[in-house]
Amino acid sequence: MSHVNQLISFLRHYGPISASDNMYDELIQAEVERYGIDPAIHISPAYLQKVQKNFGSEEPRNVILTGTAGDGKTYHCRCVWGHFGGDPEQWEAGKKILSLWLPVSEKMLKIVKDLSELTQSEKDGLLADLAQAVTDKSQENVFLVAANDGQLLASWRDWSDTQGEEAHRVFKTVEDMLVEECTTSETLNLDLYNLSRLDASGHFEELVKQVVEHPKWSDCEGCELLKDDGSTTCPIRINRERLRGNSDGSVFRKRLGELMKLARSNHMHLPIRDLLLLGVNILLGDSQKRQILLTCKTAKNRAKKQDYHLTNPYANVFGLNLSERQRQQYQIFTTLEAFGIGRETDNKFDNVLIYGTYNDSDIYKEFVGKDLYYGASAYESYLRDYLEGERENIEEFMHALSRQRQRLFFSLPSEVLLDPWCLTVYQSSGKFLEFVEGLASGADVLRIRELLVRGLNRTFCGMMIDEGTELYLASAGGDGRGRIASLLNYQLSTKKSRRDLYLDFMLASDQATPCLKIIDPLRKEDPEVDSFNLQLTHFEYLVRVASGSLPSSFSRQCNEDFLDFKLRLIKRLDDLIGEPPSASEVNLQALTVSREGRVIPENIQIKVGV
Amino acid sequence: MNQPIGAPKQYRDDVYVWVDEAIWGHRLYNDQTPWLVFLEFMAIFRSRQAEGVALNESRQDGAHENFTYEVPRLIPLRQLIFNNPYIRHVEETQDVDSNRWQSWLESFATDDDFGYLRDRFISFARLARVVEFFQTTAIEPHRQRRWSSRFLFPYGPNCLYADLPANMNGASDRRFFARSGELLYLMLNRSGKGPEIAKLISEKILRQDGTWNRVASALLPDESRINANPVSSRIGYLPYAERPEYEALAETWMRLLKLDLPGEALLDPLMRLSALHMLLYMLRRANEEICDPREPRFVLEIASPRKTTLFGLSTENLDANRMLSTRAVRAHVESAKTDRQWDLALGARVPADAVLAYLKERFAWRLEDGPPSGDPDTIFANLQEYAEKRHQRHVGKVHLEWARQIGLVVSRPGVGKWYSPDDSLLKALVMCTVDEGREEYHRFLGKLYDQFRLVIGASEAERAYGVLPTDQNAFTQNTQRLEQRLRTLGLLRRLSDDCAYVENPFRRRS
Repeated sequence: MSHVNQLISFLRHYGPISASDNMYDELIQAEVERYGIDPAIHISPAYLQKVQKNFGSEEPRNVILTGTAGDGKTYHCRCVWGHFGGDPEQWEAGKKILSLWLPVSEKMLKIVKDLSELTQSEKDGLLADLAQAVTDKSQENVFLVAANDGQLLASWRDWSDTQGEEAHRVFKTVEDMLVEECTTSETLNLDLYNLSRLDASGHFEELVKQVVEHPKWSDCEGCELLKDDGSTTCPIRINRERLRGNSDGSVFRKRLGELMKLARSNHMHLPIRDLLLLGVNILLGDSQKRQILLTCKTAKNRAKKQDYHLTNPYANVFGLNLSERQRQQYQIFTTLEAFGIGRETDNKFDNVLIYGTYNDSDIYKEFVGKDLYYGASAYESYLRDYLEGERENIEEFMHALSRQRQRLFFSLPSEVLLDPWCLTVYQSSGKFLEFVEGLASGADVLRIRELLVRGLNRTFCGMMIDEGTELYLASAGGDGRGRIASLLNYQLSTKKSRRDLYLDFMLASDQATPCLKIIDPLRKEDPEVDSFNLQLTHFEYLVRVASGSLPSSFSRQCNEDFLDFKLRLIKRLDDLIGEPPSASEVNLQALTVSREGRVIPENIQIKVGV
Repeated sequence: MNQPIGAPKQYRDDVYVWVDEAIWGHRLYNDQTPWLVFLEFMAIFRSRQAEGVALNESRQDGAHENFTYEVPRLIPLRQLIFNNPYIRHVEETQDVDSNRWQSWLESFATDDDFGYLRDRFISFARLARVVEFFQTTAIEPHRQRRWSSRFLFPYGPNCLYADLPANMNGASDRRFFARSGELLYLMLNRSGKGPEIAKLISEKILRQDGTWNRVASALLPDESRINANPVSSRIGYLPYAERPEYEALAETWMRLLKLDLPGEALLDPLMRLSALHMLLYMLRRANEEICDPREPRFVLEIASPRKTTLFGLSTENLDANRMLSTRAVRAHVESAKTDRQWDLALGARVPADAVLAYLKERFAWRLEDGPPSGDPDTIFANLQEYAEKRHQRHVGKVHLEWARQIGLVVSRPGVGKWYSPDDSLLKALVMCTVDEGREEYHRFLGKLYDQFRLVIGASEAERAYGVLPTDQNAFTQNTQRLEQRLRTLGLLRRLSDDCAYVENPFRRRS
């Protein structure tokens, strides 16, 4: 009987082969007991502390939890129930709305496990009560509701359509909260937590750590693939070591975390439940047809036949062990795939990969040659065939090359000459992360700011401007959508001032996305004239335009977004600081650009009749 | 259906047969593209605004509006911009400013003296830049029209002028300002919201103090000579006093005029959507004439890499809509037989003569080729044929021409013609329909159907046809493609699997 580690059998349940993919937390309980997994793997629910504190306070606010399936809404509710002394059996009993007395505030807490379970009339009743509770603090009931965002908005809108103006206004506020990602409302007695808008990177780190450091790995002792000195040929353990890293940490994990941060700021969704799935897939992914995940037995086969190209953890990140149709079912794989890792490359990288052995490249030796399982050994035979041989396996070679790029992306530390972000669609990701970090900590990000302003100027004016400290708002004449805008409307500084309007960069309310704001220091109550959230795509767009790319080539959407912003901003500035025209003459500023990229404003003065 | 207002006699006397005009008004015309409809409207508006009655014309109960409006010719301005190849040449061949002025003033010989430009612009290069600016922003630059029918971008009142033939001092030939703009004016006038809209227009898009409007006035000689000899015209004929189409049109104008955008950016969407409303008006009136109670519809196939089943449906739909106006003409003429007068004429001593007299009176039929011979039925058939042929020449072509111009119809040689929206039209639709800043995607699709009869998704198709005309999947994919399109235009945000919002970037922050 060959050696089997129960931990592996347990983990397989959370990989991409489960038939049913909901009931995540119930499943964990049962499986944990069956396999004797101690300690149990868990994710600390993001908002649980906050929510519990809220309901334990003297003036608890109503709470709505939204998100999509697998984000842990029901799990949160169950924990709250238990925390305030609710009977677990009552929870299981199946009632849709449960009530619990809160002694501190002397209110009745009503928990709605899932809005979609309610019938139409139950929904109407609930929404009526909820609408009252959020507008009137003195109500004796306080609510905790779990609902899908689409469902919540549709139900609430339909209900408010049957009510009056007031109900409609309340609905609009809730809709705003959800779309603008505000967690708390100033006008309503309501907090709204969107569990799909979390920073997945922290959760992922937590999960991976629990999995790779779990005490049950010790059950591998006695297996023929694990030698006494700790070395192993087992692909599962090899993959585990990759995730564990060394004393300096794991570049693999770090990069994964960074990808998740970037996905968040690009409004790309990563369901929490998929994080465990990703971890398991990286560890156990098996590209052998129809296998999908390794078992202890199949792991032994791979090791014997040295079929490590089937257990590549870096390819497993993107779900390449699944068929395309299966892969598309999981949000996490589509999100990660959108970065284009494996497809994107540049000359520097391909030079290393293809000619590295011939150039005696240090980088090649260090980062390709040294990886005995997934580096040179998996790749060099195809390379040789491509460079010197018959070229019969071109397609195989391209796949192998793609996997090397993926591996490099996850193993290059950031300090080396090659920038791993060049292997993704968003080549300026490194700068983006640095920028966000800098804005949060107050560090100096002047160079990045200048780069962004340069990109903005080029987009707004359609000319190769090289200016990073002043922002030129120019129009094109006609209906304003022409590509070259050479009539200057306004010139804004990027330096803080106490009197004049200026442009500034700061973090948006989600603390993860940089935001561009136009500030009018003379308006104390509401200094912000206009703002623009720079998602990763917008940031990438500006950096590329600043580096010479044409404004409509990288992303049409970004181009349109910025042009709309410019038109809107010009209009707002017209209302704010537009000067009444002089009666006897017309003054225009035409912009031309010198060969060095300097902006040359030319004053055109025309005398008009009265 | 309320009764149409009687048509003014001079118009009836002016045409060869009064059928198209009786159904839709005097008149719609294919050569007058939507931009020119808009410009004609603006010219009329400006004239009436000067009298203080813009979109607030008085009308006695049951009678038609009766006023004359005046549109200036602004010949010097147009000479400068559209009939002036010398500027470029002079700039390139001369260096010294005074020489340039001299050369140019000599070669640019017209009836007017342009010396005043030197005082106002000082440097010749400045004049050249300004002329260039107006040239590059002209309306519909790609259409090869005579230079006297080229139009400046309407930056303000000083940029509006009449369409003229080559002999610019003569009468206007109504080649491009063919009165469709008058119909637009009358529709807004009768919508009930006229004065409000007039106020918004004056504040946002027809301002005297706009920069480029003032520059245009700098290009013109003194005030007194601008308004000499304007083109004068009586307002056209619009049959019905009240219609829901007028109110819908007014609603669109109100929404667009209240957006957080500079006035110039509003003109393109206003132009497109006004034409769309007028197309709907044509279709609805046609349905009324043929007594078809159904609502018109436009089935849109969103551009797809592969042909879809919706392509066939959309092509059919376009063909049917194009045919509709001809069917209406036929029905309108046919209705003469249901009148008692027809029976009386048949019973007269010489039926052929009586019938001819009756038809001539009813349809203001002026026999182009001399009196027809034969029995009453032959005469009637003669009239039918004539009316239809005349219709096909111009009014029958309006639907396709205007729909193409506003980006509603795609025409590919070898493939066909069908309804498929372009980006500018989509943007205009979002700007107008999403009036609360954002709208849930499927509700947005519903609103597109409610306001403009646009069918993109399955539920709208069901509403339009009663049953789903083709498989649901085709419509679902259609909506997915639209979602992707809107996203690339920066107009849509998907929050999660079952929640996406269309956003209007120009809604004022509340």
